[in-house]
Amino acid sequence: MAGRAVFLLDSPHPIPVLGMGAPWAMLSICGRPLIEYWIEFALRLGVDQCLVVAGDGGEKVTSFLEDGARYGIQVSYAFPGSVDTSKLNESPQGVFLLLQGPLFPFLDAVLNPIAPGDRSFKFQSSQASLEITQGDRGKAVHEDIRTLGIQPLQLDSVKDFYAISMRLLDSRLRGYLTPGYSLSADGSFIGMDTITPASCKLMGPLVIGNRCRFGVMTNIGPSAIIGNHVVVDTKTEISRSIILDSTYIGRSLDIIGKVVAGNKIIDPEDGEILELSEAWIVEDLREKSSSDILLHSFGRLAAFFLLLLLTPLYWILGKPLAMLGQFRMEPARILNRSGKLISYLQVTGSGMSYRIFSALLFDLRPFLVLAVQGHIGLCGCDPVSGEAVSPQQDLSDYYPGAFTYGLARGIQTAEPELAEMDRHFYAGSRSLLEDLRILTRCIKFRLFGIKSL
Amino acid sequence: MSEIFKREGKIVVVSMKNDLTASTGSLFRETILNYDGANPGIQEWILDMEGVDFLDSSGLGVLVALLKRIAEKGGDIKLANLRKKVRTVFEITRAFRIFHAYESVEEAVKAIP
Repeated sequence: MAGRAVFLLDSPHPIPVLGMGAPWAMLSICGRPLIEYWIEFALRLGVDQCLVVAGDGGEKVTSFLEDGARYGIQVSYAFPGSVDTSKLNESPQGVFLLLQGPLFPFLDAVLNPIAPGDRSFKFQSSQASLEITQGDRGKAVHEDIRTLGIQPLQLDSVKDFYAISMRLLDSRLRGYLTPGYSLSADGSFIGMDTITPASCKLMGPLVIGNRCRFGVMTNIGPSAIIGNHVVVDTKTEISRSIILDSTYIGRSLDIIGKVVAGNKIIDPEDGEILELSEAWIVEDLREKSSSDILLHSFGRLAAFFLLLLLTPLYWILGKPLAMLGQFRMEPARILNRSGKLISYLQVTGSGMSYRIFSALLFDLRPFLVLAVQGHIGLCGCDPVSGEAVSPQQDLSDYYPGAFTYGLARGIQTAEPELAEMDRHFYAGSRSLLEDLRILTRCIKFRLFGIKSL
Repeated sequence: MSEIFKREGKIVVVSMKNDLTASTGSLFRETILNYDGANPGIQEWILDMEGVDFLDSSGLGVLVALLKRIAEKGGDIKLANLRKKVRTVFEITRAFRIFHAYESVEEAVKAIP
């Protein structure tokens, strides 16, 4: 028996702070967008055709659901206002489902099959009320809905979002497995391309999205939900918390009972938002491409002026130091921003003359030339050396620079995991201010030996 | 100077009126140290932070530096009346492991041995 569903997504986002620019239907709950739970719910009721009425940002929903083929459901789309909801179910044969507004169709009895029949389900969420009807049109049969194990939950606030997510976690997400995730004995799901070092302690139940990285000595869980592309720095503890996509969590922090979305820390109890402008605590790692051109131009110009400043000094001081012979200049190769191998003259050495040489930044001259040429930025992550390039090198977050976090720490090539974290952090936090911060710290280290970062 | 100092014996209560950030932190530090220099014998500092709506890493750094200086002389800093946002920064940065915070100035005074 065929079933039809209509999803009305054209209402405004109830929790814009969590939306991060996407419509509420794409709000990530335990690593999956809300709309996917709706589709699953519809499938459980026997629906095979679905009409989606998307509002602002609807293209994100359409590009995610496409034609629904991967779910085994036929999805079509309509513009807001083009559907008369009162005439949607004129032929009450089979199952009809109407979902309207931000609500979560919690399935308590998800493992039990729902008997087929001529049924009409209408779940309509509003700021004020939740209407649930079943049976003949307009006739409310609330008790039967409960018997079926369906429990739609309002999703109007951070508190609702937190409660639903934690409830899903605590019931160990039975029936909500996502392809690509695996369930361990303690109820943990870990996505793909996630790096968890040996000293990182993971305690279920928890959900960790794709492409996440955790620093050493971190404790994640119990009851933590980490979105996609999240970086958690070293010695940080996260429990009873939800970290949304593309968020950086700084080092040595305690995130307990919070919702973190980019640079915002939200208390789910009262919804109070703490917005932090300092990247050392939390930071938004989403791409900031609009400012990239400006940043790149500034970097090239600054590199050019630095080179102009250094060149006469190099000929007066650097050359005589070089002639003392306490260091070597050898050709080496690094990956540029576009992923091509480029050559430069690498300076290595030891002894007092080399220390003076590097304190005056003369060893960075080849990198500054590359920055002027646009191969690398003035500031960024440590460039990947030609010897370390792997065929599967992922360059999506790769912004190499002449001045880097590694340079400021004085351990440029050590600890690949740290370099990886720097890389993701810079990709999300790159800005003029961040570049100035890196530049200042590198110069402080080179001139005065003060290590930072 | 916008801080108000109230001294009773070895205890001084400092009512803070501004956010503690990079732009205000060093002035606050100097103010406290100047007061300490001019008023010897203070052992217990209670910072009434009701007027502080936000503090950043520099502000936190100033408080830690002050605690270090005062603890070296056998004193202590207690915090009182923390607003929600400031409390959150203290919570997540683990600053509560080194600072004791109280709901009110009276409670902080009671906690002094």
